[in-house]
Amino acid sequence: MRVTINHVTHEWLRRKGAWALAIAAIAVLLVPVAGLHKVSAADTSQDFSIQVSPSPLAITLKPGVDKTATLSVRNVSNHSETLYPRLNGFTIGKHGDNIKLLETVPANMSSWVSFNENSLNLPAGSTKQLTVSFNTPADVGFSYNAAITLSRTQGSAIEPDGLHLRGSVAIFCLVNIDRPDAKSLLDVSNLAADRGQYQFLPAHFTLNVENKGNIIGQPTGSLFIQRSYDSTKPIATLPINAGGNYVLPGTDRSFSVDWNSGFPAYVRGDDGQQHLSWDWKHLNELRFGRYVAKAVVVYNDGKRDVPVITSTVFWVIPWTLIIAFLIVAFLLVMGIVGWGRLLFNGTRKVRSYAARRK
Amino acid sequence: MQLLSSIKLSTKKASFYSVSAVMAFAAVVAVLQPGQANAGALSTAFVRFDRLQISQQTTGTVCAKPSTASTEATVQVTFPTGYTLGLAATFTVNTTNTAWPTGGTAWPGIATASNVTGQVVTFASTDLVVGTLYCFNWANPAAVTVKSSASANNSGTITTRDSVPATIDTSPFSTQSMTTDQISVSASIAQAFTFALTNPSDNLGGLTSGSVSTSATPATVAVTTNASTGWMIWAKDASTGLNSPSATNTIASTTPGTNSTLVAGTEGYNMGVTSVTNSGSGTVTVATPFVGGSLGKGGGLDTSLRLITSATGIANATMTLKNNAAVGTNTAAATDYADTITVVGAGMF
Amino acid sequence: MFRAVLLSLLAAVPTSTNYVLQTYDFGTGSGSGSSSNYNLRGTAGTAGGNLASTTYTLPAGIENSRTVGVPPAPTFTNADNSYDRLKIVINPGTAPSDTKFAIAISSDNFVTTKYVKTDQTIASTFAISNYQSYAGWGGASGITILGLANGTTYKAKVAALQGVNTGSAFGPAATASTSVPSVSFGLVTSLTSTPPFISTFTSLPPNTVTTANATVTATITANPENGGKVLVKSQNAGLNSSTAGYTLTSATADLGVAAKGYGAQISSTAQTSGGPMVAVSPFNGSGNAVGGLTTAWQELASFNSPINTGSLTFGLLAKADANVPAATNYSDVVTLTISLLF
Repeated sequence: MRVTINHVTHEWLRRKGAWALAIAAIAVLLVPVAGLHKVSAADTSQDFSIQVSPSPLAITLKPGVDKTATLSVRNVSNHSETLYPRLNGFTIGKHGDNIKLLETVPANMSSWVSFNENSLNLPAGSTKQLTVSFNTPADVGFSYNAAITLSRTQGSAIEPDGLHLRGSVAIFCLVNIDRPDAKSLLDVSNLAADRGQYQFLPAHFTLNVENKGNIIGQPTGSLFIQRSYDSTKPIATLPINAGGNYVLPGTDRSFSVDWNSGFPAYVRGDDGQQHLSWDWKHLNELRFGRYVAKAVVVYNDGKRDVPVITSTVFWVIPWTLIIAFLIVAFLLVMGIVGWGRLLFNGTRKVRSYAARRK
Repeated sequence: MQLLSSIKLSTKKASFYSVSAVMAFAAVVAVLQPGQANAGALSTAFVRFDRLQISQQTTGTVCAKPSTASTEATVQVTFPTGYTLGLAATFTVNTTNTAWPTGGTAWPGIATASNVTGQVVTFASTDLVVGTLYCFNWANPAAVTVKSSASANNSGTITTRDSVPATIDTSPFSTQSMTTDQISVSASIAQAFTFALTNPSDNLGGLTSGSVSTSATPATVAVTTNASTGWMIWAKDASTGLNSPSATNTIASTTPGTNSTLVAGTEGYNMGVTSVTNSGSGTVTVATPFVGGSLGKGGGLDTSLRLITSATGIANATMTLKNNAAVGTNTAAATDYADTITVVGAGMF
Repeated sequence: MFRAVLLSLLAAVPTSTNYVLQTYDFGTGSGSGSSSNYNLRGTAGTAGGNLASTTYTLPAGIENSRTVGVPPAPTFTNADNSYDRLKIVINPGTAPSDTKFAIAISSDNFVTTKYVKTDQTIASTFAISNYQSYAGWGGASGITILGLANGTTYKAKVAALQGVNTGSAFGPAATASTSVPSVSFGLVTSLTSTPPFISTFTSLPPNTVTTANATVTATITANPENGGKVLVKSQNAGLNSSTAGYTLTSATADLGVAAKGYGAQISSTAQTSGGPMVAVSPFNGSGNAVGGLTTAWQELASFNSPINTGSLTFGLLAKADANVPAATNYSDVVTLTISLLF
């Protein structure tokens, strides 16, 4: 609200004096400074709801060879949408974290990556395919990371009528170049259990995979739980990177694996709290002793599958069960001893009594 | 004479007894011979092999509808030539209706096979009623192995017998052995990411220096994904604050990348994630600068995209985003303060 | 003794007290050997005229001087490749329209003979009730003789009876053979006719009904008189991924409406003859309607009689939503078998 001062007002202030000034000051303080548009009811016509697949988009190109990929874009909202595709860049931290989307496009990808449509018109509930064309130059590098964003507007202009949130969806685009000198090299390190010793499962393992090559890697492998490193019959085989995560060149990534098939074992209930579960069907999975967790990660170096192996040792000692067993055993033994003594002494007394009677 | 008569008499007696013995023996033999001439045909004969693939062990079902009134004691199944049969003890049976023909009822008295001779397997049975379709299954796949070559018209028979045993009814059946009886189906389900932003028009109402204002109807972000790789949500502010062109003034965002709580009477503008619900197995983490939850608490945005929430694993989450603003007594009055916040979501790799 | 023999011989010639006929015969008669009410029952020399009156005729099996004509050989076939029945069509020849016929059948060239009863079964005994009219025997379409042994060659012949007592001998025989129970069953896909058979959902985008890249065709030629069925079952009752630890469950549904699912749909059935092959619910849907696959046997299609080159073709459809975990190793194994009622 604007506060204006004129002749009539001046005369009114002179007459009413300070009280008027005070009242006006308070009124000014209470009056809103910025009036933003009110939205009286939920306006779903501006809601943004988009589904994309695949996400991420991973593709392998050959130098000088054109290729296309298709993104499926679905408008889940109840109104039509017009989306504008755009190529963005992103950076990533050394440990696969701290991902930042950039407005800029990496390494002049915009010159050889294009979309078949400048805009996607999607009626409510409809699905359309967005074709991404990769006109791969002959002198490309080894790998590229980008993000394809789909937004309602092409620019970032401020909407003038109040405060608005604008939705946008991004699809990470991971490009590998299949060229003779491309190097795929993964190193596995720091396989560790979160504890050296467990009373009950699950045992939680983390494993670090570092990409020392120059192309994007997608490690796969298994974590074998066995009694010794060279055991040929693992007790359990757990998948590593079941989700198919990628490790970008020059970065490393931590993968988690849980071994939870034990008796008893901690489980998380519906309330989110952990409690010890006694599932008697798993009675034969009572874990005790020394175990070796052996991780075997496999990647293809362009010629063959290369296994990378690391291992760690951990213990499972169910102290509670052992103590309970010992107590029960002690009581049993004492009971047997007690009864034995009773019988022995009683028999001896009876015999001596009988002898005396004779 | 008397001697001769005696001899004759003795001879006659001997002949008589011999003939009688022969006749008696013949009668006994005749009785003991399994009857053939009067065997009928089963009204229906059915043998279904659960696997038709060559060299595959299989369970199966036998059904028959008797047509001759008699008292059944056994049923014999003669399997086709080339089919390998296990020992009698492997032919365990049950009478669970496994897609039996219409009208099929449990075979009375059926039990584990008592004998396997050649291709013939003998099962115990009790009396059957003419015109009723009876069925049983052999339940152990080790009992029967399909022949090792693919061929049509692999024939066998089903025979009901009485206690003699004499054949009551018998009928043939036919089956097929084939290279494969299966189709392998495979599918690939790609990672999908759904990002929804609702209530995109935010109303902070009238801003006064006496209080901190917050979104009356805050925006919500809902994310669903089928990928265990998680996702990220970023946001940026087109003008790093609430800007009024007419007043040529911007209520600036608080220091981007830091978390703070606005104070009434002190200009400031931030956004906080005030609630998160997650129905997936993954974990949602609100970036520290954007932790909300109390009035005016949040982080400042600028023109670069900043991470506000992220998730690991499959996390289908809904987050509430509240914008907060506070003005001072010197904040220029205007009705056109505006801002556009871009919120971007992406499935992780 | 000689005297006794001589006297016995003399007693055989026509004699009276005073006269003996030295030679005798009946001569050649003239006119009818019958009257309105009577006729000669036995052979009476060469008879002239009819050996029938209005009321009486000579029964079949007896040489007559005038009987209904012997029927020609019937048409005797096994057109349906049957194993326990054969088809016979009587050839009435020039027999009057009120002629009745009886059928004899034998598997040993009439060393032993059986007779077809009016209920189309066979029996060892012959009775007047075995006769029925040409129309009763199915006329030009004929009838099926039931209860025959499989893999056996039979001969059949026909006798005629007209009026009350004029009947013919059995005519010339025709030959036909029963088959043995038989089945030929095969599988192919639209991609290959040789195993292994694979059908793939290359990609299952969320909220999109997708058809697998190969349809499956099962063909069958079989002669079970009581028909048969083609059965199907699934190993996982859905598409299962061990990596994702998830099964996209198969269920009967319209995938155009359901959020997700997987199932089979028969797109066509056919046969050269017999059957027919009929798709069974719930696999007989159209559009995006599918039948759910289970780990138990279910009927995919059925036929009520012997069938020649019967076929059914089915495809697999699936739909995932955004909650189905991503994985590249979803799989299932679909098994087919046959159920034949011989």
